[in-house]
Amino acid sequence: MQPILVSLNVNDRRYDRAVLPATTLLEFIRDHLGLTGTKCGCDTGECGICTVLVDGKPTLSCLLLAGNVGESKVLTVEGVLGSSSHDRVDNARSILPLHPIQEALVEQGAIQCGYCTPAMVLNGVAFLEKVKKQGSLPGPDQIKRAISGTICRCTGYTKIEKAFLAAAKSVLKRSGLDGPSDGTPPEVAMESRQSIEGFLHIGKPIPLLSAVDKVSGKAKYTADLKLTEPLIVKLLRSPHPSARIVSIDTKGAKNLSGVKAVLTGADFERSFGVLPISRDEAPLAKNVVRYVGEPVAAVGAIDERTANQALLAIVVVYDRQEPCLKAEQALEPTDNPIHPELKKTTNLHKSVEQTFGDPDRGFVEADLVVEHDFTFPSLSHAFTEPHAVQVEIDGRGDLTVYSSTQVPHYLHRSIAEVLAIPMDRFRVIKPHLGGGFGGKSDPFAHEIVAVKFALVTGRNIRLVLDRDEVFYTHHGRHGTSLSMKLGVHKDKGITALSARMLIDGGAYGSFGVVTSYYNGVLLQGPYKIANFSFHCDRVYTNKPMCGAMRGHGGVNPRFASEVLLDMACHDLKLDPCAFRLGQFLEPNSRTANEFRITSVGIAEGLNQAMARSAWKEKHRKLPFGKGIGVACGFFISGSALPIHWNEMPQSTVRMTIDYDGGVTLYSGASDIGQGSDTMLAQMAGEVLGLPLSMIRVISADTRLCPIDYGSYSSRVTFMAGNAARNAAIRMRKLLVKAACALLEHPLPEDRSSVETVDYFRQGGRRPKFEESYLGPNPDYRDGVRISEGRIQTGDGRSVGWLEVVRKALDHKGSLETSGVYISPKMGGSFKGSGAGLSPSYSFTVMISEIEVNPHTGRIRVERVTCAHDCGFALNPLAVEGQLEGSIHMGIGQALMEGIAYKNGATQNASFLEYKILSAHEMPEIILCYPNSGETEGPFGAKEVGEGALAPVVPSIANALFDAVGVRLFDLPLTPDKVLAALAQQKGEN
Amino acid sequence: MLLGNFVLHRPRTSGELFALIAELEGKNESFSFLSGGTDLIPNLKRVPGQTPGHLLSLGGISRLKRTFWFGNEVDIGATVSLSEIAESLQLGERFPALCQAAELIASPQIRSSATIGGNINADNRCPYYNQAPLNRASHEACFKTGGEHCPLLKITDSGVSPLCHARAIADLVPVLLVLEATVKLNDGRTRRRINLSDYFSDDGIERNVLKPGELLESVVIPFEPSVRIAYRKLRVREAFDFPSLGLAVGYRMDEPDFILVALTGTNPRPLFLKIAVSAEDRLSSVQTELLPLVKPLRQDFFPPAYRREMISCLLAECIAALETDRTLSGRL
Repeated sequence: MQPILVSLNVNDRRYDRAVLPATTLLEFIRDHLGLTGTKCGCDTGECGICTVLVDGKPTLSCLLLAGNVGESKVLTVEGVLGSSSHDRVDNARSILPLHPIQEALVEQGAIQCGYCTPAMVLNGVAFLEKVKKQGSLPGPDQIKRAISGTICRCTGYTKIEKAFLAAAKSVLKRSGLDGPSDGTPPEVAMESRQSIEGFLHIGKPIPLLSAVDKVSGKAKYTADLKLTEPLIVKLLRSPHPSARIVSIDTKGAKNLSGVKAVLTGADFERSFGVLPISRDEAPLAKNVVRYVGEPVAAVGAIDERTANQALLAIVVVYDRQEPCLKAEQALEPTDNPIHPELKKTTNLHKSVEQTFGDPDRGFVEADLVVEHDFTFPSLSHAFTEPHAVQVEIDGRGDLTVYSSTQVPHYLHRSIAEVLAIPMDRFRVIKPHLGGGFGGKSDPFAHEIVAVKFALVTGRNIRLVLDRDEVFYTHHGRHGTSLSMKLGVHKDKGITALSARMLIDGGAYGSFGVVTSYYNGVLLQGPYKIANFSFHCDRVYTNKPMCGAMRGHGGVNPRFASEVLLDMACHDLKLDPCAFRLGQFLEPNSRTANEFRITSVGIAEGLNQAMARSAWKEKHRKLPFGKGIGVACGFFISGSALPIHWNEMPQSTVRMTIDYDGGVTLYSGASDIGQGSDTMLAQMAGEVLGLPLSMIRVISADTRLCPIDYGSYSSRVTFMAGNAARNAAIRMRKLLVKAACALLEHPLPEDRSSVETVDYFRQGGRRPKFEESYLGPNPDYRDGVRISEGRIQTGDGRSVGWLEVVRKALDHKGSLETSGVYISPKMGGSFKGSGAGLSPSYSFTVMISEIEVNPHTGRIRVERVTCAHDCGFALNPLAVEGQLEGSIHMGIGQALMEGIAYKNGATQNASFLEYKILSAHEMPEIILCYPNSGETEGPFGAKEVGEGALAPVVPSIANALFDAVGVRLFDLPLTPDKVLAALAQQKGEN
Repeated sequence: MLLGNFVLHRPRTSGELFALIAELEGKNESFSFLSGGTDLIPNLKRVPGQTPGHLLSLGGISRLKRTFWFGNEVDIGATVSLSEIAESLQLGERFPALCQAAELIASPQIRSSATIGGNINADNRCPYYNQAPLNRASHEACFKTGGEHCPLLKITDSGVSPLCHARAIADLVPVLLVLEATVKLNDGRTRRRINLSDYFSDDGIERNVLKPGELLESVVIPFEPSVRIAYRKLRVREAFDFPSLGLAVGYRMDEPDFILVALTGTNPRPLFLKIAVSAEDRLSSVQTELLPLVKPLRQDFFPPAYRREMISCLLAECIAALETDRTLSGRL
């Protein structure tokens, strides 16, 4: 095929390139012009991530042929920034001349992972042109329409909508057109609802450090990196859910010109898996395939086209076997188990069972026992950035692995183990990452395969998954069926809870053992439940594997327990909020399974949420079709126990200051869009009294950063935050010492090693500390004041920061400290007592108001009031972003999300068919701050990333009952199920 | 995802286009028209093996981008974009339901590329067809992917049809049918103008009466001031999603005993009926005529029985809207 000359006007510059006619505009601007600010989300026009402006109109660059653009003008995100033809804003956070929409997206905290941000910027540029033309403020619907063509999985669109409104206001103001609104604009004011007096950074709304890079297209994600002439690796995947591999003939592929290597299962000796107890996965299938989509062979070729041809030239002969596709079927005896190496007669993977107290007696004591069965489909994380990995190999054979991973450390370990390479020979780096939600926390087959190709060929490697491959890679929420029984006594509260879960793990283990425990133990809060038992079976089936997804293991059982509680309250004529108020765990208490409960702010949260939602005026008082429902939740702030048993701290953060006076933090924590780098900088800036502009965070790089268990289980703020805070306190001591020497002032009293936590009272045991360990959240007040570049001792004299730094460097040459976090020892001594143990727990109240159309059965969520006890909101912008994103995902799970399988094959492996909410489906959100001030959390903070998701789902189901009097027990709550339930109700009446 | 290789042509006039077609036909080379590409390109990306040898872009032919008004008719060029239709004040005054239907399509990004001609000719959709190669390899091929049967129909279904049951999904078509639009077709030698209601076929593969090399040049809509139309669309999300159902109901104020109904989203062919109704119970008269023709299958997020039920629901909404809005502009 002959290339054609394409001449395009991109960002007001003329580019001429010879490309194949099949080149899309997206490929042209990314691959041929190197403008990687435009991202690829699906490549089939279903997500809107690749939006550019063509003659001022938002257009999908993945669907446009470069050769068909003609004379039209193309604007990419790179052209928005600093272009003289656009408005400029001077931004205090950046020296870059930002466009008003960029400014607003940054300031409103509308940027998390940033992967959809360039598209939102261009939607905004077009939107603001319309606003200028119409000369009046846009209404909420106009804003929703402007962003409706681009999906965002992080923000719930809420802050993006606020940013669009703020930008519209600023543009109109500058054009002198402060016209009236044609609708009621949402409130923009961002006010902190907590006391932040005396803090420099803590508690203040701070945009992510990376926000300006993300809003300007400068942020590089894994697929954006340009390595020298990488081989393109592609995977051949199994079309069968279960088959023996009779033979694989790779000759045809190897003989193709441009193909450098072809690998199959025979090239890998060892298996892997994120948990040491279930390493049941091969990088490429060995002898058998266990799900549709399982990688069977891989090719490395000089370009993608050749790699695709090579895949077609591989001949695999399969002997198809009867697949096991249903979880119930997996419990039956079989001669042909999916994992014969386990030597079991069924496809049971893990069975866990725990009993506390006396559930039988508890049910006898109850006024009412409610019981029901529930089902839940498997869910996808649906992050917008597809998995990508690139490997760079140098002349010594050392490797650098760039990957979109939540846990560089686990990937580092897995590659070393599976490929038998010493860990020091390679380095794992996570570039900017476009959303994870648990879906990038396992080490993946494609990552190990990519490294193997680098070793075999000595070439740089590039492997980027297509969107459908992301769905087959899956690791999403387990499909679940469960039955639960709840005993309630009007005065004694919840007398017993017992549950039996069957979770469908798919073909491999992943995090499944943890999921199995979490299905039970995360029911131990937020209520006191003395008599409790659960049994959870995780089974293997011939489907893509399931693993950890936001709210890991706790979401589905939470739906059941909160719906049953609502049913019980209804039957006992109790107000569901008032009844819950009496059931909450007390601060500094223990649960039946010996979780150590520290701070609890849920009662205050429920009171706030009831007031803000006008619960008393609405519950059971709204007209038919309108309803309000409540549910509560509970989640861990990281696991107290590591998955690889060891005595290392859970988090270590290193800090350096060199001659320039700037502070650098090194942390293994992965910023996956949640803002952990910014949180770490806040810790350092607060303790050292420095502006954030003087603090740089180097994170998620296994060579430079001390180990950290990465970003999952909502652990980073609590653990890495404490570690960063401690590193900063140690640095502060060095600097204060130097300042005192310069000022000839006596050293102030050091309070940091005075223990602020009474472990005994808190119900735990002191962790094994190294001599110098500072403990969690230590006091760093020393009577010295560091502000505005000066260090001032108690007597009012001061000395400049740089002078102090240089004094401290005397005889040392470098200033270096580290801080760690070690969880206290706690928990029971029974089997499985470690599951769900966390140094601290978050609590959530969710009140949803919905409208149900009784003719169509459609549920529309109108308003959600959320009170989440995160201890203390270190950064309200980030906290709100996590809550709004959780609400987005929760409503999606409640109303429409679910993987559809047909004979084991994923039927909705696309953003068009796997439905995540568009901006139009998002409700108004009211957030409350019931801050409990966690003694052990850094500056009082604890979990916020996941816990809020779980109660969203049952709050909607409970609101459905309030609205139309029917209950549904099978997710999602689709209109057809609502109508069927209404019809049945009518029949019964 | 790479597109398969093809030669891209961008003729400047219809004359150039048809000369090119004649040349390609002479060499027996395969080709497709490329308009907005929002339907064609994803389908080609997913199955690069089915890529035609040549893509003939219509984007350079300025005549196809124009909208002409002739007396009581408007002639909308095939490559007029959906956003141009949605935002056109002139069209909005006379055919509000058309603009409304355009505005409800997919997303702003899709609407700025997608065209009216492309919408009318949009490929029918089916969960067995609109899939990437791996999913297609996981099951037997269907008619539309070169197989011998339609997996949507159980073998036990009486009178197994030899036709593909991929469903029609074009959003504009119900409104255009009720507006009694016609389409102008040109194969370079002969021009013909046919009623849109005669344009479609019952086969999810062939879909319409276009002959090879024949181009849908424009859509002609008669403006009849007494026509009132209501349009309703069922879908999961208010953005992105194709219509699970798209229903247009209309009547002429001077012919109140007839109702025009058009439905897309269920059958391979968009359904269109002119039904004599009694003023007392328009809904049941329409239901009686329409529902027996509708065959929703397991092609969509919503199950067939629900979609069948929703047809009646949307019908009732449309009729109620028309009845309360008799004297107004027809805008809903």
